[in-house]
Amino acid sequence: MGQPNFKVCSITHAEKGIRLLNENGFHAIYKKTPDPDSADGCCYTIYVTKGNASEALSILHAGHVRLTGEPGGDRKP
Amino acid sequence: MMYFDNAATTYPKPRMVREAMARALTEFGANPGRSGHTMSLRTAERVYHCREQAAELFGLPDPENVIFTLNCTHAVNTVLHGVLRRGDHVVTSDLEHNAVMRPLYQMAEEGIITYSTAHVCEGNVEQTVANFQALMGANTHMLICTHASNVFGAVLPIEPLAALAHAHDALFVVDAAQTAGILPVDMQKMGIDFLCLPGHKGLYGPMGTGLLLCMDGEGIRPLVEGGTGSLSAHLAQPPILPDKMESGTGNTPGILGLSAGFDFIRQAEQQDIREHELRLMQQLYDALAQIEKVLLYTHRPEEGKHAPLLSFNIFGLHSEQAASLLNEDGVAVRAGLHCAPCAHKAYHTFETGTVRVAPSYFTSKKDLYGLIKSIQKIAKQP
Repeated sequence: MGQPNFKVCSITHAEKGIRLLNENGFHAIYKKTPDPDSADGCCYTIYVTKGNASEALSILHAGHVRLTGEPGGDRKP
Repeated sequence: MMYFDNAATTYPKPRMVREAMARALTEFGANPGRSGHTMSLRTAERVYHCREQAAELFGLPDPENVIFTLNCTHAVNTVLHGVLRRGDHVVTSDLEHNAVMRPLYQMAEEGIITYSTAHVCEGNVEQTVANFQALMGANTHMLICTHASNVFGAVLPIEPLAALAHAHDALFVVDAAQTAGILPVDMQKMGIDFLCLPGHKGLYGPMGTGLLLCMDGEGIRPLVEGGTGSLSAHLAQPPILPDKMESGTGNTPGILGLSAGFDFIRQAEQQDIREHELRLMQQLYDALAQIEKVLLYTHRPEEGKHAPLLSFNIFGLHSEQAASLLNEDGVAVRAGLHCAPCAHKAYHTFETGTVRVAPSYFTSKKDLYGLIKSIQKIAKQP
């Protein structure tokens, strides 16, 4: 997996996610998802531009950040 | 004006609150959680920060479990209607505000729930807890109580009541309308499952703000359903907090004002605010105890046992008459039943109501002396 990204359905969880990641040495931002899954509709994507994907995922899970869909990679913020 | 109606809403609001609300309209005017443009995301960041502040102050691990409401009553209704199911039994106290009593009464009238009311013995924790315990039954699903009476200030024994509720597998809900921002409240340490509070009283935010803090919000149903800016392809309400409970555009200027209120409390220090207000109420109590025609109903306010507010009457006057005379002297108080008829029945003041005095951080000794002087004058009248 390249630069990881994670979809979240709630902006609150996007805010929580990037705070948790940035507090733990990652560099993360989020944006409104440009190509949302038509089955779900509006959501946000957390882009991790510095750091390991599996570690980032562990941090998000530990912080109860609710992800939607599978983690992706290489999508540019 | 000498303003002593802070239990209804604090006034004045700190300058930083007023400025934050103005900035909300000028710099953070976009709708958070709806669009992807920069101002919308910057506004969402500020809104989330307010959730973080609430979670930190009230000992809630997850900021997403902070729900913005219109006021404390809205938060209480959200819990009662969102959690209780047909056949449930609820135990509450005899000091509750109508925010709790009216929904319970209505749900009981409709045959949905039953409820029982426990007598609170001011200053007697053991007897109070025993009174609650005697009412707990096999189908008791919730124990809900005020943290402190909005009329008499008596503080309820929150931790023992939480333990009692949980020993019966019941949820423990606290109405912190008169204590949030003043008395310490830690949901984790105190065992509170749902905490309901106003933003516009002891937290110094604007009117139209309130909070519901959920230790676990999985099972709660929303009062209002609709657009959340999330999972919008689904007709079903999103299942996760806070989206599930926050449909429609929120009160961003209010939330950002409330956020500044949290900042204000942190800067002023909650303990200092509480000690200042309690000292004023002790001085008032001591002064009123010297006036022959003044009727007092509680023990002298004490740290840990009373929220900083005081009720009294002047013999021969209805509380509304006394409040009207105080108003003529520039003193703002609230009289009557304070939306808490059960509390007045418990203290035998239902017929006359009481005059309620509640200070804030901004109340000065000069204000207090003005109030005492006015009461002395009214009490001297034939």
